Amino acid sequence: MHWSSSILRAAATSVAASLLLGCGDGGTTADGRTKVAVQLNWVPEPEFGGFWQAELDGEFAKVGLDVQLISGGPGVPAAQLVASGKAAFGVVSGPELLSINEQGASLVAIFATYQGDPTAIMVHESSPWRTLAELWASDATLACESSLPFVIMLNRTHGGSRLKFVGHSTGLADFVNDPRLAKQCFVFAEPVTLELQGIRTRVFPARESGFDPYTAVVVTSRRYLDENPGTCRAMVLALRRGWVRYLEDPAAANAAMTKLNPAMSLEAMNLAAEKQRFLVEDETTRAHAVGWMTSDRWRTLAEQMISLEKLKAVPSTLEGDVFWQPPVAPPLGGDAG
Amino acid sequence: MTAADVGGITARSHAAGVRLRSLSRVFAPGTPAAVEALRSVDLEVPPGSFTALIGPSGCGKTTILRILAGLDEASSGTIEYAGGVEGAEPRLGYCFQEPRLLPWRTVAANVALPLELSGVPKQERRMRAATALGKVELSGFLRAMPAALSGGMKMRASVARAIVADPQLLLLDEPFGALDDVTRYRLDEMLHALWSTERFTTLLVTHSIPEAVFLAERVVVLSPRPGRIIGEVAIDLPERTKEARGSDQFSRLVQQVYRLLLAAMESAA
Amino acid sequence: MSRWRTRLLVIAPPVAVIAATLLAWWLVVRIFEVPAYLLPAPGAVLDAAWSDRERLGWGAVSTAISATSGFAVAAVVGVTIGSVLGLSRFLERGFYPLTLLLQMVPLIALAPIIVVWLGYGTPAVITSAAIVAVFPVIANTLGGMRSIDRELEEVFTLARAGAASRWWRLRLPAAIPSIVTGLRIAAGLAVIGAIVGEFVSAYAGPRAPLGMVIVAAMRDFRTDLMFGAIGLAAIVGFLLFGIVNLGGWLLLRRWHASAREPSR
Repeated sequence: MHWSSSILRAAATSVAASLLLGCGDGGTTADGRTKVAVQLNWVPEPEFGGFWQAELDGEFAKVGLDVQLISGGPGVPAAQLVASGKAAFGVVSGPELLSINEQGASLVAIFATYQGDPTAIMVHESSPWRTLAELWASDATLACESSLPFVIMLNRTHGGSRLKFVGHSTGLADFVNDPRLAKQCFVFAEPVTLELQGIRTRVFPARESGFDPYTAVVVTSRRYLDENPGTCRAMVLALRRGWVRYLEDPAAANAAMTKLNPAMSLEAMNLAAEKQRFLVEDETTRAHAVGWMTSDRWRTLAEQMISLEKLKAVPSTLEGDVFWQPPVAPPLGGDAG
Repeated sequence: MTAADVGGITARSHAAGVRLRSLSRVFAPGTPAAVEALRSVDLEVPPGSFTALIGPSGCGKTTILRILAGLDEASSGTIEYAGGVEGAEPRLGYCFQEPRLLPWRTVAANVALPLELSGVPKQERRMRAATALGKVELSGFLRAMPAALSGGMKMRASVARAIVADPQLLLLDEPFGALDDVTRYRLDEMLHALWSTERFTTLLVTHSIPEAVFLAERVVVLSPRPGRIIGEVAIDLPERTKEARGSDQFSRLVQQVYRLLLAAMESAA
Repeated sequence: MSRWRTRLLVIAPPVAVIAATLLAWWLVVRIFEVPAYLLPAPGAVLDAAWSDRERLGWGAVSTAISATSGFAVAAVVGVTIGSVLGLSRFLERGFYPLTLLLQMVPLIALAPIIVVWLGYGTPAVITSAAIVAVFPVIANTLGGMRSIDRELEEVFTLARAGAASRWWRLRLPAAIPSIVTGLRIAAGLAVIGAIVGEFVSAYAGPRAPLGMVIVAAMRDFRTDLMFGAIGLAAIVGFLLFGIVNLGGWLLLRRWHASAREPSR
């Protein structure tokens, strides 16, 4: 859901964002908390549940942060905004981080919200396609970015030469009006919204392609990390606590988010929060912490992208260069700050 | 009247005669900006004659032509037509002070415009436009664009357009006023030659006394606004050539018109 | 010899300004070490454009076809609407404010609904191009029709010409210089409209139009390729503008001052 479909809107939003950042980033509050901005890449949704939970619970304040969450939307250049120092933190995808770093930026991942890719292709339940393979063998129209790595991966395994790709707009009007349109989505976002409206869909997760990168990754710039390691550490710790609480009970944070994003009802948010759980929590996160990343996963991602001609080389150092994360706090009485 | 005998010259059988009776024109009547342009003008123009109207600026000379052409309306008074038209509206030729050619049409197409607007077939109007242009000595410029012509040539094209429909009444509103004297004299001679052969009933408005004397059979003098007819001078020149302009008779007639005009100005002042 | 010299004097200033701009661009990137994702050096843009030449070439062809078609639709519809409105003061007063209002509608907001109406693909892109391009044509046609010379009107009044005849023989031809001006503006806008339409409604793939290439390049942080595509879009616009200019010149050169000047 995070790919741009409109450069114009991107430009407008980035101007707006940079104006907002003037008061949202840098400096400290009267009570000595560090002001930081987080540039989200989409509108408030359960994808960012941990942020709102941490805010509601005062977790940011506890670690000495005053966090401003800046909503994104289609085409918001979150990666560029963080890389160029317009925002201290941002949310991007794993492939985006590797791509932009090869173009001269130096982003560092500090927290991987999703351990895999929630992107999916949805079709109407009434449509004839029952699997990704069937869809890829058809001449369907896909509202989906054709240059996405998982798409290229699927093209390699299933052909897909007859598919027609069109721009991926935010609204659902095109999908609702065209029973034969397939559309890019998040497994637990648009299909849930549509189901609540009585429109039944069939959802094919992109992960089935074998390409399954970290997604909704919180990043900062190398420079910001080097200059403010304490702030970055505080951010990760607050997010971990926020996410743990959100997984226990998302209702309060969802209520806050639906006020900011009325297009997604509280009901849809609650359903989505439940359905996204498998991406936030897995064996790795249970062994370490929510948002935990490993060198192996990043290497696999880089190698896959190289095979898809989306990347030229695996970064020489992964841990510390591509991603950085503070150790897990002691399970009991951990009062880091 | 089917054919009139004017001053010993037989008019073309189809030329129109005009009679203006108590013609008046007030612009914006009843407002503070009201202007009385013409006051009770009576004028008789026999078929096939050449009449010049002369008077100071703003005396309503042009207004008379515009009313005749239907570009303006009289406030009161009547216009009667006689001669070849017998009461009906005559076929008009009108030549403005400016050439008023459509810049996107060739000279020939401009001249043919009145024929085109009255539904004459293409082949015929092409021929008649060429003939009309021949009469004003512009045969070599049928396909030229107006922008490529000199001021005098544009005016000649405009005269050709005025005569192309073989008018029963030719109205010339100071057509050569903007030209230099040499060009103007040449065009006057051309116009005289044209009238001599075609005998259109012609009404010429001009500022120039020598032009009026050279061209007209009769010069009618108007007073300053509101325009009234003060008097008229019959022009009985035996011939109208370059040389005639230098003759004593010519000078005497110019003087006569001039004195009348001067008297008109003084009576108003 | 002097002819070559005048030619040189015509060509040299724009070439020098463009060269200086490129040099300044290159220097800024070099001195401030601007990273490629923010602003690539001009050389990098050319490299990217060359190595992706096939994709960009097809993109340019596709965008050019849509923009030209949209322009053609805008020209026909715009001249028709503008000149019909020019027929009567009543029609003009009624409809002109509406066309002005429609001109203010941001295309980007309309584009998604155009897709819903027309479906994905070239017709929706052409519609986007036509929608933005049509308004200057309407406005300039109407403007040209309104500013008719009263003196020329009288030539037609003398002949008791009817409204239709006046419209066809006087108002329309007299409006041509103004219409050509409108078409010139429309040429540039048609390309912008096509690109915006493509963002939302074009098909992707190996022969995707420039709008799609721009979106994909932006997403891959290929700012160099994006600049290449934008530059190419500008060239497409410039060519369309040039063709319109040439057409206008051919149409007007024999009678209108605006066309006679640059011929020499």
